[in-house]
Amino acid sequence: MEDFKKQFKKGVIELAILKLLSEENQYGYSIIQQINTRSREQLAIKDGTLYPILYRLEDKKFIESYWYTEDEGRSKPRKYYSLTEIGKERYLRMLKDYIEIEEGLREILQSYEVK
Amino acid sequence: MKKHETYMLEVLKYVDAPKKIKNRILEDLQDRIMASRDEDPLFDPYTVMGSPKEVASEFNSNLELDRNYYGVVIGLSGSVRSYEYKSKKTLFGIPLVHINSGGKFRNSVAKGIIAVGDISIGVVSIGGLSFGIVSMGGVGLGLLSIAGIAVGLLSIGGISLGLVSIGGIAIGMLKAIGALKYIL
Repeated sequence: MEDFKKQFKKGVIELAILKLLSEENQYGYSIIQQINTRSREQLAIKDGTLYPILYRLEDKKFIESYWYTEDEGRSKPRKYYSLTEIGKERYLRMLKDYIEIEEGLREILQSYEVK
Repeated sequence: MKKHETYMLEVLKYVDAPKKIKNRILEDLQDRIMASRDEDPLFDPYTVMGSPKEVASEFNSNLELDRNYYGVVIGLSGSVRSYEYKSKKTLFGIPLVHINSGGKFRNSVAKGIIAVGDISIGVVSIGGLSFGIVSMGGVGLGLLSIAGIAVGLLSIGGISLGLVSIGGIAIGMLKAIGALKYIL
Protein backbone atom coordinates (compact mmCIF):
# COMPACT_ATOMS: atom_id res chain seq x y z
CA MET A 1 0.00 0.00 0.00
CA GLU A 2 2.87 2.29 0.84
CA ASP A 3 4.21 1.67 -2.65
CA PHE A 4 0.87 2.69 -4.22
CA LYS A 5 0.85 5.95 -2.29
CA LYS A 6 4.45 6.64 -3.22
CA GLN A 7 3.83 6.05 -6.93
CA PHE A 8 0.61 8.04 -6.90
CA LYS A 9 2.29 10.94 -5.11
CA LYS A 10 5.11 10.88 -7.61
CA GLY A 11 2.62 11.29 -10.41
CA VAL A 12 0.68 14.18 -8.93
CA ILE A 13 3.40 16.14 -7.18
CA GLU A 14 4.47 17.83 -10.41
CA LEU A 15 0.92 19.06 -10.87
CA ALA A 16 0.92 20.43 -7.31
CA ILE A 17 4.21 22.26 -7.91
CA LEU A 18 2.95 23.78 -11.17
CA LYS A 19 -0.25 24.85 -9.44
CA LEU A 20 1.67 26.63 -6.66
CA LEU A 21 3.92 28.36 -9.19
CA SER A 22 0.87 29.41 -11.20
CA GLU A 23 -0.28 31.33 -8.13
CA GLU A 24 3.02 33.05 -7.41
CA ASN A 25 6.75 32.76 -7.84
CA GLN A 26 8.26 30.77 -5.01
CA TYR A 27 11.58 29.58 -3.60
CA GLY A 28 12.24 25.90 -2.97
CA TYR A 29 11.67 25.81 0.76
CA SER A 30 8.42 27.73 0.40
CA ILE A 31 7.16 25.15 -2.12
CA ILE A 32 7.94 22.35 0.35
CA GLN A 33 6.13 24.18 3.15
CA GLN A 34 3.07 24.98 1.06
CA ILE A 35 2.72 21.45 -0.30
CA ASN A 36 3.04 20.04 3.20
CA THR A 37 0.56 22.39 4.85
CA ARG A 38 -1.98 22.77 2.06
CA SER A 39 -2.19 19.01 1.50
CA ARG A 40 -2.44 18.48 5.27
CA GLU A 41 0.78 16.46 5.03
CA GLN A 42 -0.84 14.00 2.60
CA LEU A 43 1.53 15.02 -0.18
CA ALA A 44 4.41 15.92 2.15
CA ILE A 45 7.66 16.01 0.21
CA LYS A 46 11.31 16.24 1.06
CA ASP A 47 14.12 18.19 -0.55
CA GLY A 48 15.39 15.15 -2.40
CA THR A 49 12.02 14.83 -4.13
CA LEU A 50 11.33 18.49 -4.85
CA TYR A 51 14.60 19.62 -6.38
CA PRO A 52 14.95 16.83 -8.98
CA ILE A 53 11.40 17.66 -10.17
CA LEU A 54 12.31 21.35 -10.34
CA TYR A 55 15.45 20.47 -12.34
CA ARG A 56 13.41 18.45 -14.85
CA LEU A 57 10.82 21.21 -15.20
CA GLU A 58 13.54 23.82 -15.62
CA ASP A 59 15.45 21.74 -18.17
CA LYS A 60 12.25 21.37 -20.18
CA LYS A 61 11.69 25.16 -19.89
CA PHE A 62 8.40 24.79 -18.03
CA ILE A 63 9.80 26.86 -15.19
CA GLU A 64 12.74 29.22 -14.78
CA SER A 65 14.77 30.33 -11.81
CA TYR A 66 16.19 33.67 -10.79
CA TRP A 67 17.87 35.17 -7.76
CA TYR A 68 16.05 37.90 -5.89
CA THR A 69 16.82 39.82 -2.71
CA GLU A 70 13.54 40.24 -0.90
CA ASP A 71 14.94 41.29 2.44
CA GLU A 72 17.77 43.83 2.37
CA GLY A 73 19.04 42.46 5.67
CA ARG A 74 19.67 39.06 4.11
CA SER A 75 23.25 38.48 3.06
CA LYS A 76 22.33 36.37 0.04
CA PRO A 77 19.45 36.56 -2.44
CA ARG A 78 16.91 33.76 -2.67
CA LYS A 79 16.46 31.47 -5.63
CA TYR A 80 12.94 31.85 -6.94
CA TYR A 81 11.14 29.66 -9.45
CA SER A 82 8.51 30.98 -11.85
CA LEU A 83 6.23 29.41 -14.44
CA THR A 84 7.00 30.08 -18.10
CA GLU A 85 4.35 30.43 -20.81
CA ILE A 86 4.81 26.82 -21.93
CA GLY A 87 4.79 25.86 -18.25
CA LYS A 88 1.36 27.45 -17.88
CA GLU A 89 0.15 25.46 -20.87
CA ARG A 90 1.57 22.28 -19.39
CA TYR A 91 -0.11 23.00 -16.07
CA LEU A 92 -3.52 23.50 -17.69
CA ARG A 93 -3.12 20.36 -19.77
CA MET A 94 -2.06 18.31 -16.74
CA LEU A 95 -4.93 19.72 -14.72
CA LYS A 96 -7.41 18.76 -17.44
CA ASP A 97 -5.93 15.26 -17.68
CA TYR A 98 -6.01 14.87 -13.92
CA ILE A 99 -9.66 15.93 -13.65
CA GLU A 100 -10.64 13.49 -16.42
CA ILE A 101 -8.75 10.63 -14.77
CA GLU A 102 -10.13 11.50 -11.35
CA GLU A 103 -13.70 11.59 -12.70
CA GLY A 104 -13.25 8.30 -14.50
CA LEU A 105 -11.78 6.62 -11.46
CA ARG A 106 -14.52 8.02 -9.22
CA GLU A 107 -17.13 6.54 -11.54
CA ILE A 108 -15.54 3.12 -11.21
CA LEU A 109 -15.07 3.32 -7.47
CA GLN A 110 -18.62 4.54 -6.82
CA SER A 111 -20.40 2.13 -9.15
CA TYR A 112 -19.26 -1.06 -7.50
CA GLU A 113 -19.28 -2.08 -3.91
CA VAL A 114 -16.50 -4.14 -2.43
CA LYS A 115 -17.83 -7.60 -1.70
CA MET B 1 27.47 27.80 9.63
CA LYS B 2 30.30 25.30 9.43
CA LYS B 3 27.93 22.58 10.56
CA HIS B 4 25.62 23.37 7.65
CA GLU B 5 28.47 23.31 5.15
CA THR B 6 29.63 19.96 6.51
CA TYR B 7 26.07 18.69 6.19
CA MET B 8 25.76 19.77 2.56
CA LEU B 9 29.13 18.31 1.61
CA GLU B 10 28.16 15.05 3.29
CA VAL B 11 24.94 14.94 1.26
CA LEU B 12 26.87 15.53 -1.95
CA LYS B 13 29.34 12.80 -1.04
CA TYR B 14 26.52 10.27 -1.27
CA VAL B 15 24.79 11.70 -4.34
CA ASP B 16 25.58 9.69 -7.47
CA ALA B 17 25.45 12.37 -10.12
CA PRO B 18 27.74 14.32 -12.42
CA LYS B 19 29.52 17.36 -11.00
CA LYS B 20 27.20 19.75 -12.84
CA ILE B 21 24.14 18.33 -11.09
CA LYS B 22 25.95 18.20 -7.75
CA ASN B 23 26.70 21.93 -8.09
CA ARG B 24 23.03 22.55 -8.78
CA ILE B 25 22.07 20.57 -5.69
CA LEU B 26 24.63 22.41 -3.58
CA GLU B 27 23.25 25.76 -4.72
CA ASP B 28 19.70 24.73 -3.82
CA LEU B 29 20.65 23.16 -0.49
CA GLN B 30 22.49 26.35 0.47
CA ASP B 31 19.41 28.39 -0.39
CA ARG B 32 17.06 25.97 1.36
CA ILE B 33 19.10 25.83 4.57
CA MET B 34 19.45 29.60 4.59
CA ALA B 35 15.68 29.99 4.23
CA SER B 36 15.17 27.67 7.21
CA ARG B 37 17.75 29.57 9.23
CA ASP B 38 15.89 32.81 8.52
CA GLU B 39 12.91 31.27 10.31
CA ASP B 40 14.86 29.51 13.01
CA PRO B 41 18.44 30.58 13.75
CA LEU B 42 18.96 27.28 15.59
CA PHE B 43 17.84 25.25 12.57
CA ASP B 44 19.48 21.84 12.57
CA PRO B 45 19.44 20.12 9.17
CA TYR B 46 20.26 16.74 10.69
CA THR B 47 16.99 16.67 12.68
CA VAL B 48 14.72 18.49 10.23
CA MET B 49 15.93 17.27 6.83
CA GLY B 50 17.27 13.88 7.87
CA SER B 51 20.70 12.35 7.77
CA PRO B 52 22.91 13.23 4.76
CA LYS B 53 22.64 9.62 3.61
CA GLU B 54 18.83 9.74 3.66
CA VAL B 55 18.71 13.06 1.80
CA ALA B 56 21.19 11.81 -0.79
CA SER B 57 19.27 8.58 -1.23
CA GLU B 58 16.09 10.59 -1.89
CA PHE B 59 17.95 12.63 -4.51
CA ASN B 60 19.42 9.48 -6.08
CA SER B 61 16.04 7.83 -6.48
CA ASN B 62 14.43 10.94 -7.99
CA LEU B 63 17.15 12.30 -10.25
CA GLU B 64 16.29 9.80 -13.01
CA LEU B 65 19.75 9.97 -14.49
CA ASP B 66 20.60 7.94 -17.51
CA ARG B 67 22.67 5.22 -15.90
CA ASN B 68 23.47 3.64 -19.22
CA TYR B 69 26.82 4.88 -20.32
CA TYR B 70 27.43 4.54 -24.02
CA GLY B 71 31.00 5.83 -24.15
CA VAL B 72 34.21 4.00 -23.47
CA VAL B 73 35.14 3.86 -19.82
CA ILE B 74 38.74 3.08 -19.17
CA GLY B 75 38.40 3.83 -15.50
CA LEU B 76 39.67 2.14 -12.42
CA SER B 77 36.46 2.14 -10.46
CA GLY B 78 33.28 0.12 -10.92
CA SER B 79 31.40 2.42 -8.55
CA VAL B 80 29.14 5.15 -9.90
CA ARG B 81 30.67 7.53 -7.38
CA SER B 82 33.62 9.64 -8.35
CA TYR B 83 36.62 10.06 -6.08
CA GLU B 84 39.33 12.66 -5.99
CA TYR B 85 42.23 13.28 -3.65
CA LYS B 86 44.83 15.94 -4.15
CA SER B 87 47.65 16.29 -1.65
CA LYS B 88 48.30 19.74 -0.25
CA LYS B 89 52.03 19.20 -0.73
CA THR B 90 53.24 20.26 -4.15
CA LEU B 91 56.48 20.07 -6.05
CA PHE B 92 57.04 22.76 -8.70
CA GLY B 93 53.37 23.62 -8.35
CA ILE B 94 52.30 20.06 -9.13
CA PRO B 95 50.51 18.04 -6.43
CA LEU B 96 52.69 15.38 -4.90
CA VAL B 97 49.81 12.90 -5.08
CA HIS B 98 46.71 13.20 -7.19
CA ILE B 99 44.13 10.44 -7.28
CA ASN B 100 41.17 11.04 -9.57
CA SER B 101 38.57 8.54 -10.64
CA GLY B 102 35.35 9.59 -12.37
CA GLY B 103 33.55 6.42 -11.38
CA LYS B 104 31.60 4.12 -13.63
CA PHE B 105 30.32 6.72 -16.09
CA ARG B 106 33.16 9.16 -16.57
CA ASN B 107 36.88 9.28 -17.13
CA SER B 108 38.83 11.70 -14.98
CA VAL B 109 42.41 12.81 -15.36
CA ALA B 110 44.93 12.69 -12.52
CA LYS B 111 47.97 14.95 -12.78
CA GLY B 112 50.62 14.75 -10.10
CA ILE B 113 54.13 13.65 -9.23
CA ILE B 114 52.38 10.43 -8.28
CA ALA B 115 49.20 10.24 -10.33
CA VAL B 116 46.54 7.58 -10.06
CA GLY B 117 43.46 7.90 -12.23
CA ASP B 118 41.35 6.75 -15.11
CA ILE B 119 43.81 8.72 -17.18
CA SER B 120 47.01 9.55 -15.34
CA ILE B 121 49.87 11.89 -16.08
CA GLY B 122 52.79 11.98 -13.66
CA VAL B 123 56.34 11.04 -12.78
CA VAL B 124 54.93 7.82 -11.40
CA SER B 125 51.71 7.30 -13.24
CA ILE B 126 49.17 4.56 -12.61
CA GLY B 127 45.97 4.46 -14.60
CA GLY B 128 43.76 2.99 -17.26
CA LEU B 129 45.68 5.17 -19.66
CA SER B 130 48.95 6.28 -18.10
CA PHE B 131 51.65 8.66 -19.19
CA GLY B 132 54.79 9.19 -17.11
CA ILE B 133 58.44 8.56 -16.41
CA VAL B 134 57.28 5.33 -14.81
CA SER B 135 53.88 4.38 -16.11
CA MET B 136 51.75 1.44 -15.11
CA GLY B 137 48.26 0.46 -16.14
CA GLY B 138 46.09 -0.70 -19.00
CA VAL B 139 47.87 1.27 -21.67
CA GLY B 140 51.13 2.85 -20.54
CA LEU B 141 53.48 5.28 -22.18
CA GLY B 142 56.68 6.18 -20.37
CA LEU B 143 60.41 5.79 -19.99
CA LEU B 144 59.69 2.67 -17.97
CA SER B 145 56.33 1.34 -18.92
CA ILE B 146 54.65 -1.66 -17.33
CA ALA B 147 51.20 -2.14 -18.80
CA GLY B 148 48.81 -4.30 -20.76
CA ILE B 149 49.97 -2.41 -23.80
CA ALA B 150 53.29 -0.81 -22.90
CA VAL B 151 55.22 1.71 -24.92
CA GLY B 152 58.51 3.02 -23.54
CA LEU B 153 62.29 2.97 -23.51
CA LEU B 154 62.00 -0.08 -21.33
CA SER B 155 58.58 -1.57 -21.80
CA ILE B 156 57.14 -4.60 -20.07
CA GLY B 157 53.66 -5.80 -20.91
CA GLY B 158 51.26 -8.05 -22.71
CA ILE B 159 52.12 -6.18 -25.86
CA SER B 160 55.26 -4.13 -25.47
CA LEU B 161 57.01 -1.73 -27.76
CA GLY B 162 60.27 -0.02 -26.87
CA LEU B 163 64.03 0.23 -27.09
CA VAL B 164 64.11 -2.79 -24.84
CA SER B 165 60.86 -4.62 -24.59
CA ILE B 166 59.70 -7.63 -22.65
CA GLY B 167 56.29 -9.11 -23.17
CA GLY B 168 53.94 -11.64 -24.64
CA ILE B 169 54.36 -9.85 -27.90
CA ALA B 170 57.54 -7.83 -27.72
CA ILE B 171 58.76 -5.40 -30.33
CA GLY B 172 62.13 -3.87 -29.47
CA MET B 173 64.66 -1.69 -31.19
CA LEU B 174 67.67 -2.97 -29.22
CA LYS B 175 66.30 -6.03 -27.54
CA ALA B 176 63.04 -7.91 -27.44
CA ILE B 177 62.25 -10.73 -25.04
CA GLY B 178 58.97 -12.53 -25.36
CA ALA B 179 56.89 -15.35 -26.74
CA LEU B 180 56.61 -13.46 -29.99
CA LYS B 181 59.53 -11.11 -30.44
CA TYR B 182 60.60 -8.81 -33.15
CA ILE B 183 63.64 -6.58 -33.28
CA LEU B 184 63.30 -3.52 -35.47
